Amino acid sequence: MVPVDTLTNATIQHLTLTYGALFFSVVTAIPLAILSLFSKRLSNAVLTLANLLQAIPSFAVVAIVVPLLGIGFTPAVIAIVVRALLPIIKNTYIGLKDIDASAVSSARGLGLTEWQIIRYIRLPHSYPAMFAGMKFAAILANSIAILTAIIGSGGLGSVIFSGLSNLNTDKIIAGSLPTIGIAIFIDVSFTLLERVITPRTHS
Amino acid sequence: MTSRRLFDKIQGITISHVTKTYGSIYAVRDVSLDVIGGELLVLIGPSGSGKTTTLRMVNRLIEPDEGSISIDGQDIRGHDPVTLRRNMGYVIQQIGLFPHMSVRENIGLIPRLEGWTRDDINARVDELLSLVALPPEVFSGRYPQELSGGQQQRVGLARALAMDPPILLMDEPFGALDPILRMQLQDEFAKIKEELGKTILFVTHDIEESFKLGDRIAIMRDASLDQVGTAYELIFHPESAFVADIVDANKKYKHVDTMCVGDVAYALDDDHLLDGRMDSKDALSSMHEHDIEVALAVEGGEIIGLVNALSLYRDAQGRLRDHAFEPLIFDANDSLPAALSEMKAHGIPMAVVTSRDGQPTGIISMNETLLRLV
Repeated sequence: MVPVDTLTNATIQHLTLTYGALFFSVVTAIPLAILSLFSKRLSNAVLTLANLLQAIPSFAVVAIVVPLLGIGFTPAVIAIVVRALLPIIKNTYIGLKDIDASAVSSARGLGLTEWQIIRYIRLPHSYPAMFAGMKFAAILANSIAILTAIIGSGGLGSVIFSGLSNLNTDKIIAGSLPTIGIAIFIDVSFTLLERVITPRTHS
Repeated sequence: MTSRRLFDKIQGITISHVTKTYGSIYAVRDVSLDVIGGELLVLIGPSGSGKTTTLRMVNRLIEPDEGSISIDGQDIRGHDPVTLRRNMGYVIQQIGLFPHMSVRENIGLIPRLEGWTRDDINARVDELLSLVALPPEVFSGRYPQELSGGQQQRVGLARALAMDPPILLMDEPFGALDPILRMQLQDEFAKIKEELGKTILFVTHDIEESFKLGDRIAIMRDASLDQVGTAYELIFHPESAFVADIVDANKKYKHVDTMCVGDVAYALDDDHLLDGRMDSKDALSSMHEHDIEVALAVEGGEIIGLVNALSLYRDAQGRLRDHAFEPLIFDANDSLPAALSEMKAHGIPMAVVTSRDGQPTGIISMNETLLRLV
């Protein structure tokens, strides 16, 4: 058996890691996506880099931060952010960009400022894509937060890895079940959030 | 942020020697054009002739490389583009309604950004929806996807009118609609236009539309302006083969619907005014001398009637007044087809045309009119 407080601490650590990394990913990705609208060069650079990072296996990303940043919680957060950025940037950028050009040109012609066009026209239009990206990023973060136990992030991953190394089934299950539960919670909560925030297009 | 109201009713827009190039290609080349306050000026021409570029320079969506545009004598470069645009309505062919906003939110967006209260916005939206013949209680809560093309374009027009701008810029607003719907919207818009009294710059490639709606028409070709004038001027005095071709000048009868009595009337001069008390023979010789077929018999400033040289010639007895027949009288702005059919119904081939103050200014002859139209 795994002591309850050990498991509770590990779960809290895991959630902090997952949602902390997700938070940093969102606050980095959305401004980058918006800025990319203004510069073709920036959008190319951002999207190419993000695509490249996406292609690297998660485990390799986790490994590579060790020689660069050492071990512990912060390097783990950075490893997750690196992997979680792309789906948010890419989806947000597509959501912002992929709007009927006539809506933007009529908005400009009616006298909306460039910022107001983003705020009132492009952003609301991008919400469904943006939330799909955030949901995917959250699920990714949840999985990678298990792997980062290897580089000393703590959390549910530590419980699982320690269970695996001793073939301790109780430990493996005690670590895995909350992870699965969190994954389901992420999926459901983001779906609901998306439904509430996305503007309607039908009466 | 609230934008200053730049003008209430404008005197005119002056486009002065504007040129815009993209690379080595001229989009607009040295175009000068005066839009008179209160008129609807149509810009027409083939695609690539520069009409849309010219329109978009007026609200600074495109900045000219050379030349200037001024409204009431003020260069528009002196105005902030956003403020300028909020003082002009803008309607485009693709409409560009915001898909995630209801009809009410679409129309009310700029008033909302201008800080209007919710009640003021709602009242304005209802008023505008009624103007474009969409009952607010049915349509204000709908989303663009739930509207037909014609309904969407009506909302687009209402949205452009939200701030009651003195100037409207319209870029082929009815171009994407099917022909029947297009005609219906043109008719509705022609009425709305009279109510609004705005200065309108209207781009189209449909010559019938330009005759129907335009007070004056500017014909563009290859980035330059070919000719500006009323429908009548373009049809009867085209300055180039291109203009004649565009207005279909060799089939003038096609345009009879859009013409008014004043367009085809003969101007009256003093030779046409004969005293009703004079002898018929003298009157006839005077008419022969001046080579006129029809004259107006007057007595003390009053019109007694029309006299016809042919009937005088057959029976030149008594005074001129005995030969005068009571004329039909039309205002110069009356519709030509209506006037012609009234003349036909009365069996009178001639009529007097008067100006707004009732002064006779011309004579219209049914036969002559028909001859001029073919």
